[in-house]
Amino acid sequence: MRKMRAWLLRFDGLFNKRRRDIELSAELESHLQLHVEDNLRTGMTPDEARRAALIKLGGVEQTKEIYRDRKGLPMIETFLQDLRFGFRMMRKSPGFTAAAVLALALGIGANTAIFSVVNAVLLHPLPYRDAGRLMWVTTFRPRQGQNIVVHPDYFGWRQQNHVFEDMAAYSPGSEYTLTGAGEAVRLSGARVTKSFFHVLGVAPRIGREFSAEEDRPKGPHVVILTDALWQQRFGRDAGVVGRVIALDGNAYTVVGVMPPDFEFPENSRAQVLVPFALSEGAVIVLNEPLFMVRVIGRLRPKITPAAAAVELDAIDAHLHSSYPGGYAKMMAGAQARVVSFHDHQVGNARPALVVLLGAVTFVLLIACANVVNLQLARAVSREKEIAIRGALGAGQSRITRQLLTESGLIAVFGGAAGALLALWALRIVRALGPKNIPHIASARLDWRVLLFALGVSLASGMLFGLAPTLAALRVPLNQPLKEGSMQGSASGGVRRSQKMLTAAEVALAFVLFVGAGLLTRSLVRLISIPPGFDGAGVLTAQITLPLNFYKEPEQQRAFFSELVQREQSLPGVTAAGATQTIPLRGFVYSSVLTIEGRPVPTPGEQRAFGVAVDTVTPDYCSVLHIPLTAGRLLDDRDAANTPRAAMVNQTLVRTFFPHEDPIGKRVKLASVDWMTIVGVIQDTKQTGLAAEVEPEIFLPMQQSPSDGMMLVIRSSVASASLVPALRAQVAALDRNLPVYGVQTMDELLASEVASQRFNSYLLGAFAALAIVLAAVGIYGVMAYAVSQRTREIGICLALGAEAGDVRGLVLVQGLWMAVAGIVTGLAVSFALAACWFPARRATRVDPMIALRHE
Amino acid sequence: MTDKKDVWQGTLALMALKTLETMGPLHGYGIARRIEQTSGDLLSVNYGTLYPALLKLEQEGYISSEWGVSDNNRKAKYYKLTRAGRKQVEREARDWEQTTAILARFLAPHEEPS
Repeated sequence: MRKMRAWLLRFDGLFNKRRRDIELSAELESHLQLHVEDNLRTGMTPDEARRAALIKLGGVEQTKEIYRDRKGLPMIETFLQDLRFGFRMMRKSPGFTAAAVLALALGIGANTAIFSVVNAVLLHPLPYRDAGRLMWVTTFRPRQGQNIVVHPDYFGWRQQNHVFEDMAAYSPGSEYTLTGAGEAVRLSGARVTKSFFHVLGVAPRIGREFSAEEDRPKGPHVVILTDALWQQRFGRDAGVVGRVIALDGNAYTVVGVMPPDFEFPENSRAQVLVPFALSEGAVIVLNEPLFMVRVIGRLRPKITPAAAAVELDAIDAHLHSSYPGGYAKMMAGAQARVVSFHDHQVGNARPALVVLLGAVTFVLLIACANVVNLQLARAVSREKEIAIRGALGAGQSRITRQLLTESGLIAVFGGAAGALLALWALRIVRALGPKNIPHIASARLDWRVLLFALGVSLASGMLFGLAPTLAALRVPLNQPLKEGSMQGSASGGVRRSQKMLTAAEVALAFVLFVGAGLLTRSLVRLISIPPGFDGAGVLTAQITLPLNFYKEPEQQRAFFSELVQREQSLPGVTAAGATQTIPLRGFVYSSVLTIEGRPVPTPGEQRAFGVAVDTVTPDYCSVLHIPLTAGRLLDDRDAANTPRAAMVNQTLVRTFFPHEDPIGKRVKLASVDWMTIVGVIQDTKQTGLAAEVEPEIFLPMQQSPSDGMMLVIRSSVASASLVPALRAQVAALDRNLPVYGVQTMDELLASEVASQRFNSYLLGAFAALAIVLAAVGIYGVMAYAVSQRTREIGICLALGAEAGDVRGLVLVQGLWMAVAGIVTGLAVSFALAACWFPARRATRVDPMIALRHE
Repeated sequence: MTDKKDVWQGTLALMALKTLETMGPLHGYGIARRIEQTSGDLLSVNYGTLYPALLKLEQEGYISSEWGVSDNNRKAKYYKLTRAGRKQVEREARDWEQTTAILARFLAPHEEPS
């Protein structure tokens, strides 16, 4: 209480400084008079009396100072005073201020921009209720070398576990054609179990979730729309609930619409949700479809993922032994994995972001080092000022506080400018950021980012404010004053620390430069990997036939034959074809190859005999310029009524016919009867530029029609101009068929390297920034050193030194810093590489995402 | 160093309070003289140091001040004890006695307990 009262009074005292000074003076004056009178009474002369009284009172000014401190709040007062003085100093040396603020703005801006990406991507909580307990659940199957969960596993877990509150299964990859609501359109959809909504803690904004009845095989067809689709296609009509829409020509009743902030897991762009409708039961029934599912579970409170995995393993052990023979074997050695859903979602983006964050930290350190250098240089010229302050009674802490306030001021200005820079940089990041980094588009400056920027600014202010302060305080007070009119010259210590700082800057910049170089090199290497085809000027588009209208292979064959013929006759088109999967699309259909005269692969050998399967029209290879290396291409001779033929790629030949001529060999697939290999074509990268090419077999479309094909069209005109004609041709054949996935092969190639390009551009930009800052640092130090040594140089010249000698002297000094920096940088780079590469190798995941089917 | 000063400040404040208790309203010079006399000139202080201590006491509400006229017709600022100040003197004096008693016992030669 009493303390409070005192503080309030002191706070009040801040504002009437003059009055209280006058009052104290009056009081001290009256004190003196009383004392003088007493002294006079003891017989002193008036002069003696006054002198004695003054001595006894002690230093009047000191007393006033202490009194003032007590009267007001000296902390705030001096802070305001320092602030005012800091502003004045900034105005007085605009060059220094601009350089320091700019360097900091660059460093803080880069940090803030990258942190806001980290904030959006890594720190962004999943938009689900209590998302910390959501787990991605799967089993790793060593036999297949993959994480696979089939739906009986899911039911077994869900029914028998005691560690999850609930579990849900989903499958994000389905697609549907929506007709009857405007122009036919291909939608991406997801199948989810009824429990999906409960597990995530999400609910439709209008309408309802799926019922138990709807989530059963052959249950009623129902669908839940996302908000975006509801807006685009249904004009936000609340009456949509209960309406029947056509998906793939089947009638689905809309039962609900999700809220706008709903995000389907795994960065999927699902626009409609339909019930999974799995047949419930933890058993595999032969000859009934087996679905691969993804499973998400909500852990019970206080259960760890590791404990959950142990329980699931126990359930699996029992479950798998009940599966029919072949399956039980397939499951051998399966290990349950329970991973935080957040980690699962952002795991891939993390390493790159962490590296970028490290890089911008380097940039910031360099910027700070630059400012320290500037400050050190200035501290020397301010030695005298500081000495005078000391002589006038400013204590060390007082001087420290003043210098720190000045640095803090610069840091705050730098931080503000940095935040503006970050705002601008973020626009670029959002535009260039690879789409596979979740939430990167939502990176913006929110309070958390601004808090980060403020923290970084103040921390760096402390960092670069402290060094020059210490340097200033080390100098004995009287020395700068004694030097008289001579310019204060940098003491050896200051000059040494400047050089070391500059060398450190060069070292950091060099490390960044090496990192950027390595990334760029791997980007260049990636880009220069021959994809095996020539995609320039090739347009692709996807068409999927609804099976209830095109069930028969004859219908599919007829449709695509007709469509390809029509495309070929379009003006400007030089070649047109169709294929089930275009290169670089990221997935392949696969099957197991059986070779005539060799044993049929056993279930355990399925991986070894796995091949990618593609169905192509005759002109496929000529559109993509894929060269033939042996035999002949598939052509019009391979018709529905002729013996089955196939082409294979070089990898298939190397894998299965290393010492034989493959032409004429007969092979069969799980679902395709014996066929003869008629030709070998060059390998093409199907699953990604960096991925290994798999053995691949190409079947003629006429003999193995498919309901879904991708058109490939080479033209002599701009690809984009073909799109309307392409759509018109498809509409002429079937008005209800959407043409989707329209893009050029060049775009596909660009998106393949988008994230590498993004990373290496960013790191490159940071390295450039670092080098510029380091160069500025060297320049600053050298220029300063030369100006400080003018006298010395003058003496050297007077004593007969050549101008060249002096230049050499200065140059050697600058070079020494650069070389020391580069050597250190090299060492650090090696050390980092030594840590980084093994770590990366350990975490590298098989980049191939194969859609295994059949 | 700071600690010593704090102790000194604390004792000085107590001495000033006690002086005001026994002498009634008094100006700064009077308080200073009185403290010096009472301490038998052992405690030779700069009178100036008293004023910040008085200000602190006033801010804490233990004393109040007003300008008045001295016996020989000089304008002077007079300090007097408030009610809170009276209580504070008692409390402080008791604390101080306790402290000194403990210290005295501590410093006095005594036999080791067996």
